[in-house]
Amino acid sequence: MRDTRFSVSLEGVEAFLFEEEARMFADIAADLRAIIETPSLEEQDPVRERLFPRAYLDPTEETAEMTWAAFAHPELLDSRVATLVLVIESLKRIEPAPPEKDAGNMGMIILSPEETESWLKGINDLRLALGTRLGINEEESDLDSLDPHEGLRGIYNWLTALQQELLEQVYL
Amino acid sequence: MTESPVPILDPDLDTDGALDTPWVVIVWNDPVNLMSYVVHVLQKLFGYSKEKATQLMMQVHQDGKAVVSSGRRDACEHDVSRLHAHGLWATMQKDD
Repeated sequence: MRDTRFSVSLEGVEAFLFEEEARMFADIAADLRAIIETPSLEEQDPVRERLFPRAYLDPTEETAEMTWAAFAHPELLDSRVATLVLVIESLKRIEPAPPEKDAGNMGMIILSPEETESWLKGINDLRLALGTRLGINEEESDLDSLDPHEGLRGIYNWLTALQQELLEQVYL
Repeated sequence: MTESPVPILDPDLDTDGALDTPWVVIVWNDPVNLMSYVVHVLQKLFGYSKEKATQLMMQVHQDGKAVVSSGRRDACEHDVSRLHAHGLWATMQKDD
C-alpha cells in the first residue's frame, strides 16, 4: 500500500484520495466559495478579514487603503474563486487508481501544473478559513479532544496533512 | 530564456525607487500558514533563494514579523496584493 498521497509523473501530478475525502474536500471548497461570493451581512466577519486583510495599518493612510482595496479586493476575490473552481472541477475527475499504483481503494486524479498550484493555494485558503473559525492559535495544547468543533477540527487537520504532503512531495 | 542587452538608463530617471524607498512590506506571523508554505511563497513571488526565503520565514516565526520587500508605494501595494493572494498576512508602512 502506497504511503504518499502525491507523486510526479510524466502526465502530471498524481493525487491519491479516498472518494469520501474527495467529496468532503469539494464540499468545503464550495462552501468557502459561497462565503466569499456572498456579500456579508456582518461587517466584521473574521474569515473575510483574514482572507481580505488591510494593506495599511496606519489609520492616517485610510484614503490610500480605500483606493487600494477598491482595486485589489475584487481582483483577489476573482482569483480566490477561480482557484476554488479549479479544485472543485479537478476533484470530479477522480477514478479508481490503477493496480500498479498500489493505492488500495483510493481514487486517483492527475493534476495539471495550474491545478496543482490551485490545490496548494486552495488548501491554504480553506485552512485559513477553518483556522479562523476554530480560533487556532500558536499555543495549541493537547486539549483537542475536548474541542466541541471536532468535526471541523478533523477537517482542518486533514487539510494540514494534505498540504504538508503536497509541499514535500511536489514542491520541495 | 535569452539574455538581453542591458539597457542604458538615464541616471536621473528614478525608475525603481531604489534611491528613495520609503515603503516596506511586512509579513506577520500567523498560526495557520505552514513554515514550508511560507518559504515556497517567498521564493515564488520574490525569486529569493531557498536560504534567503527560509531565513525570512524564521524571522517571521521567531520575531513575529519580517520585512520581505521595499520600494515605491505602488510597488509595495502590488507586493502586498500578491502576498494576500497566497494567504500570507502582509501590510505596508513607511520605512522609518
